Amino acid sequence: MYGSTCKRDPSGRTGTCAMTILLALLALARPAATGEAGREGTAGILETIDSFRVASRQYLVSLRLTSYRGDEVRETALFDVYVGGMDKSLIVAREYRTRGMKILYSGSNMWVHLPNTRRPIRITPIQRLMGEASNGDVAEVSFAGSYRAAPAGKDTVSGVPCRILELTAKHKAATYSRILLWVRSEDCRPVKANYYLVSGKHFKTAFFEEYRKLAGRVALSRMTIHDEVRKGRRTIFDYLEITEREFPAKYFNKNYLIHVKGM
Amino acid sequence: MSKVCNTLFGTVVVLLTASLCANTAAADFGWRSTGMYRIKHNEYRHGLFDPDGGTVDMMGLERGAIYSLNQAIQLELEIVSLSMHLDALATGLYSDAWDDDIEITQLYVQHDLLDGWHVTAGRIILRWGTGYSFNPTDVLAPEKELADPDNEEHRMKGRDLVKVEYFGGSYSAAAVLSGKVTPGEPRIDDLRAAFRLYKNVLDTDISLIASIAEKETPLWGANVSTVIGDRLELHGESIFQKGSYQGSHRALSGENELFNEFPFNESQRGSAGFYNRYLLGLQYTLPGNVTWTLEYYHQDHGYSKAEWERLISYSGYLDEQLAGVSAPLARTNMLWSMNVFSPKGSMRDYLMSYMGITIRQRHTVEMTLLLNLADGSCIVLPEVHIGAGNHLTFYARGSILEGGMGTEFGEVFLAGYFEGGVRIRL
Repeated sequence: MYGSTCKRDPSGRTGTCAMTILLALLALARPAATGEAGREGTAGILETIDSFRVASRQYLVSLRLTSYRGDEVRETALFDVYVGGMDKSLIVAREYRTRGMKILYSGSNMWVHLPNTRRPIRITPIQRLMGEASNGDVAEVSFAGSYRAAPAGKDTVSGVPCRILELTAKHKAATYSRILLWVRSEDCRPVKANYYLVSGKHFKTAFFEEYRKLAGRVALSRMTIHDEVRKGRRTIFDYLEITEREFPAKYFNKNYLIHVKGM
Repeated sequence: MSKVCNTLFGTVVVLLTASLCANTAAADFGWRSTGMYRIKHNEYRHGLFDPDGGTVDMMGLERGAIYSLNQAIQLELEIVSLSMHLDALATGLYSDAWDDDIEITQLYVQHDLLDGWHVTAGRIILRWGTGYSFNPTDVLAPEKELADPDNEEHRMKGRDLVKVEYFGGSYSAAAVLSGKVTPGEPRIDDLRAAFRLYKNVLDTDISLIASIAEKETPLWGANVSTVIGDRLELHGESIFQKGSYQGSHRALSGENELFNEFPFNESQRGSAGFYNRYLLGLQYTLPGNVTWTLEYYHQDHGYSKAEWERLISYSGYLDEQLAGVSAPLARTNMLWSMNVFSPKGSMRDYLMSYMGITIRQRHTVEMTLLLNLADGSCIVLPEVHIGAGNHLTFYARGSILEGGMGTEFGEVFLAGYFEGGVRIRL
């Protein structure tokens, strides 16, 4: 119910969702009375937030990562990300030091297949892909699929009024155990996120910096992740192109990885 | 190319490849090249069975530096639902003269049928196991040709087979028929059928595996892998077979002949007992991109410590008896045994530990230890990779075989090696 009132304007025009968030979070604060409704509402908010990053439908996104140490570019890479809905994605490295490497994310499972090998192997989401980007940063395309939200206050980021949501992992394979997410009050657009490890350590900070029309709708086009442990290191995510496509189920089967074209 | 044509599936592959090439205008084409240029030095030692070091010369092994150039090429060609894959490796070795070879390690065509059905035919490297050091459930895996002195790269070559596989969302089922024909002879050798059923259950990968071959009892096995928490991965494999088909030295079955043309037999073939091979392992990701892997491997049909000691005693006895007559033959008999079987594990219990550290995203320092739990002998493999850009990697690695007199890795006449080189990937 709350999800439907918090839907983005498909044209990309911003609308007010602060009241929606407030209602949803108030509902969450009364779990005994409205627990189901609260969960439904929170999921709706996260889906709205996700809609700026991804769509629940299937598509192919071309993603460029640029890793910096201070002002120096350390590495660049280009990936194709096949998104098969909220909880499935396949990353294929097009230009990278391990060209042809494939990472499959399905539910709470992750596998990697390296070129010149004949079997995929399981990996943990914490294993690093490149720079400050974990595999999960690229492959985990949905907050709604992996996290629950709770209210955490209000703030202003670079002059933009924001609501803060505290996201906690729904399953063991979520990339982070906790996320503090700043979303623009007027339309739920993500602005900033702090990522935390199980230990409670503030691990990374992400800034959702640029949005533009991709595949006919306003979507995130640039995000920067800063390393909070090793200061001065950051990785920029540039979402270059999104093409809506249907993928057969086998694309997200780990045994099919060796058959996906990767050269 | 003649090697390919000499197989059961070679003709099929060539016809389908020709069909693909005839339509290249509409094809999606990809390629990858890996060049490896290196220098290697083997270090030999005297041992219980080679006190004068004469075996190295007798077996024609190189004592000096070995220079090698390796160029691997991979091609992928895809037309609609039909694709072809080719892996070829050209090798040039130089010690006192050049020796070159070209081998097709994989060549197969794959057809995507409707609704997730796939047919693959040709020479394919199939890996079904989940372990890193040993893979008992790799029933159709290629043998590592470690004993082949021409195989300095320890390269693998695929098996000739036809595979039919169905892919669902979280499961797959595969049936494979593998075999080899000898040109001009109406028979198929090494015929083997294998089946795998895979499903992800409760975030755990589970594969059930079976294999049937001529003149062998069936193999039944399973492997699993799962992730616990953020950093821990667990895996395991197990396979059973009634009787054993692993070569065993004739000395252990009471055939105390001084020398035999083929010193191994399958002494446990008729056994009514079940023989098991299994592997249990974990991989843990430590902070700072440090990966640690630990595995324990057991095989029922490996030599026990008592059997190994008996084998060592018998070989020592042979060496004494044949001294001055045909000692080199007896020594070679034993040394060949160890050189062929030891790298794959000729005894029963092993532990493997690997630690890899990635530095600045592009350099790695690795250390692998393979420990024989029965006699304490071990192989230590340090390795360093220095990445320079996306295409160039310099590397150095070594191998040190250590152990006391009469132990498995202590008696292999290769004490270790060092190699360094550069790898160029395009």
